[in-house]
Amino acid sequence: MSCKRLRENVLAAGAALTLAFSAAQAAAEDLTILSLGGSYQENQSQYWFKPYAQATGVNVKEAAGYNFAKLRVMIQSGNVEADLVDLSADSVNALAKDGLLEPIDWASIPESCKAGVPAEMRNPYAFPTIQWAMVMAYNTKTYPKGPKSWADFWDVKAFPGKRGSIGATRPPIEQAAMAVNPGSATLYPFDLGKAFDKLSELGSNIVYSDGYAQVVQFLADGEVDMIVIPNGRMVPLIAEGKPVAINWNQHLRFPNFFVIPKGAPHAKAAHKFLNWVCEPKTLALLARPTNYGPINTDAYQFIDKDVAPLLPGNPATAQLGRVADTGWLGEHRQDIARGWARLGAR
Amino acid sequence: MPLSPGRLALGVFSCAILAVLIAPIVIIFLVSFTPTKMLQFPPPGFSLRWYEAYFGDAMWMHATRVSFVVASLTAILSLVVGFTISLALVRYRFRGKAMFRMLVMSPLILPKIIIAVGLYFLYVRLRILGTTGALVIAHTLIAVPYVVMIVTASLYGFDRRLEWAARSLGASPTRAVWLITLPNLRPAILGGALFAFVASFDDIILSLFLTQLTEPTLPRQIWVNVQQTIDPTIAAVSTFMTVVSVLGLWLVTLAQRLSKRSM
Amino acid sequence: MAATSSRSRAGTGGRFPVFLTPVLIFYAVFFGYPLLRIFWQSVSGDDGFTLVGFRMFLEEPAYWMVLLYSGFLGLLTLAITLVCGYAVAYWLVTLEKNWAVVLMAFVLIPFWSSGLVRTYAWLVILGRQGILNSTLMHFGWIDTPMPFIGTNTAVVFALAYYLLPYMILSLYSVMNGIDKNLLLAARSLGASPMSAFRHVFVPLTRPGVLAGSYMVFMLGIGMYITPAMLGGPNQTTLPLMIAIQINEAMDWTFAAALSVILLVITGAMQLMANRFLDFDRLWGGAK
Repeated sequence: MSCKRLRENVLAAGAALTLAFSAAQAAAEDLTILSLGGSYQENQSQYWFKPYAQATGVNVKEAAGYNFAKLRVMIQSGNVEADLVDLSADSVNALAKDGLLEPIDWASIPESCKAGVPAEMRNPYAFPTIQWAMVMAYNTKTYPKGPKSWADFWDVKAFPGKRGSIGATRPPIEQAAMAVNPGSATLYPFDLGKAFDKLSELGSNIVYSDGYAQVVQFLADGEVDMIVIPNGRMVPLIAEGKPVAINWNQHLRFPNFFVIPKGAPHAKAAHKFLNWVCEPKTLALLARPTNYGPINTDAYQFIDKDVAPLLPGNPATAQLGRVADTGWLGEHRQDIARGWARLGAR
Repeated sequence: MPLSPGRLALGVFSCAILAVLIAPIVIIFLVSFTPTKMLQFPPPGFSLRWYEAYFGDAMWMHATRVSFVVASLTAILSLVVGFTISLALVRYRFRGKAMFRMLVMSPLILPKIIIAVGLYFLYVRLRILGTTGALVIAHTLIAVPYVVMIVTASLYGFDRRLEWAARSLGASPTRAVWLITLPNLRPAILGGALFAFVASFDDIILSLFLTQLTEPTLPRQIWVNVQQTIDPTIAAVSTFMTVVSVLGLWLVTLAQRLSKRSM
Repeated sequence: MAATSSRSRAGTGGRFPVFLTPVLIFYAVFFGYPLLRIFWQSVSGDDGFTLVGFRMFLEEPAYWMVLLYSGFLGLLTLAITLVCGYAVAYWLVTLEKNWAVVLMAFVLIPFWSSGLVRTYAWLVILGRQGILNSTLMHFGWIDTPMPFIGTNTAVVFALAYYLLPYMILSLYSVMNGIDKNLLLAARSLGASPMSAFRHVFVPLTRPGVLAGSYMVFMLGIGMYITPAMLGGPNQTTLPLMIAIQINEAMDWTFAAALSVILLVITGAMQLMANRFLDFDRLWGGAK
């Protein structure tokens, strides 16, 4: 090949490459979403992320599994790898307080989405999606009559058997407080010391685990007969026909949010996704597979009658429980950790 | 050796312990074939669905490849670093030796989450966060203590006269070590390599912090599974890991035997 | 004779091994930075220099108990693995080579599976409807299932299980190198088998015992996932506390302070050990 020919070929190749590169750029935006993994994320992927990618052509990348510490160092160091993160309420408070979240542009969110969102949920830094509830679940064969309240959970005489809960990371202190004052109309603030005393009352009747999945496994195996658990975790057990039931009395609701970390590389793309997923109809799609309730009350129009009663926050069961005060919990995390150490030292 | 009652008792005791060591592996193996969605022992049936779930999932396969590569590189790097340190600790006396030994051993006790956070910020500054090399370095830090302990124990008992003989025949110090010391320390080196590989292959916390979110290692995937679902996929993964390494070990011993025969 | 000088003593005088320099640089950069960061973080709070992290530890007896428990766990695990490991390693060494290799596979194979999954298997085995309870009830030794989960028994057992291979391999590699002729020589000089074992074999295994013990103890006090999965509040360990401080309580100053305390205490233990047992002489001075 002559020199001239070679140069022509190289220029042509270079032009083609540049064209391809820029064309690719224009066609597909990138969006990285970080969520919790497991079947929750599989459902989010099936009903939200993949349909969005198909509808808009955005290149949606998913990441699963993180702990709070990693999220925090990621944002603090400016090395933000995710544009959108699925986050629980108390983590939202902690990150927002340190200025680590991008503000949500509520003005640009469509009216159809905003109408059903309660005022107190319109967090300047987080977009509410679904809520889950910490409920009591029990083995219906062991307790055909079924425990009705947290006082019953603590009543080992009337309801003999082992209880289960997660331990060190989130001990069931609110439930203990509700057992201390069964008739009380308010929960927060409560005496942490008394709550931990109540926990130690159970002694060896309660088995603590390291994660919710383990707690559920214990109920399924018959290792324990009564557990404190997020309601969505019971879905696979109920689907398999295991003899278990949920007690909605005195449940605690925890909202979940989508947040945009400060310095996210594709914050605008993240916002576009929010404008798409916020539609009540889209939010409602997650209700049946996960049993988590949409925070947007308009979404209930799109939810089947047989699923609605199973969702936290739906009008039928909402009065039976209350929303957890994650602000108060966040302020007392250190005391809770200390209380747990003291519980072990007794 | 005659079979005294003492020896018999020792044998029975040892076999019992070996049985306990292998029991969970057998259980995991059996559970991996359960048709149910949740872990159940004994499994009520036979199904390959969890192996399908493992091999059919791109994320799991990618994580397996990543972990294998990282662990292999870690084994190599920790052997080099660990052997060097062992030589220095065993044969030299210098100021600050005790402190240096403590420094090298401290990744063993320090909670990995602390090391992870510290390395995270360092890597960001050095702009190597999320790279394979960065993770290999982190794993090397936690693997070197094992290599050092095993190699020093053997090195202390090594007869240096062999090396000096090589030196007196004209070999340089480096060549003497390479040709004489290393082959004689083979069990220790293999043991160190094994520990280093496992330390890397089984690490959750450092991987959680130092890998890119979209590029997990195998332990990270398993951890997410245990946190969220606990389905028998992890039994299939664990069994696969075991089978592959057993095969590898067997092939290695076979190769050694063949090479001995051909000598 | 030149018997003593032929051993690998630390006898090259006060010369600094120059080849160590690249390793030193490696550690200075990749470990020095995180280490300094921990020390710095332990004394910096929201308003600059503060000792509140250390004060929080000193003011709360429950935290001392957690630290003591971690140490207790390490020691108990060490005792169990040392006894079991020594027996198994010795037995393996006395076997014919082919058998030893096959049985050694039993020790190595557990390494090659996920530690997390193995701990999970113990959850399954020790459960109320697990194999252990089922077997005990089948043979009529107990009437109702015994609660293993959430007890010290389960945690110690699982930790010893996890760490036993380390001890066995440490001991085996050293035992394997011991010249059997030494024992025969002792016997031919009139020593009983027991005496030969105690006075010749055991001292020669010291390097392996020390290496294995060090590994098992240090690993034991640093483990937190196994005690968290199998134990209850009474089995809270210091590493778990540190993890909770980082992930839940989000108090990194306190977490760093706890880490510094852990480092300082284990460092002090090592220094004391150095003083009372001169490692170099001990490991090389068997003959």
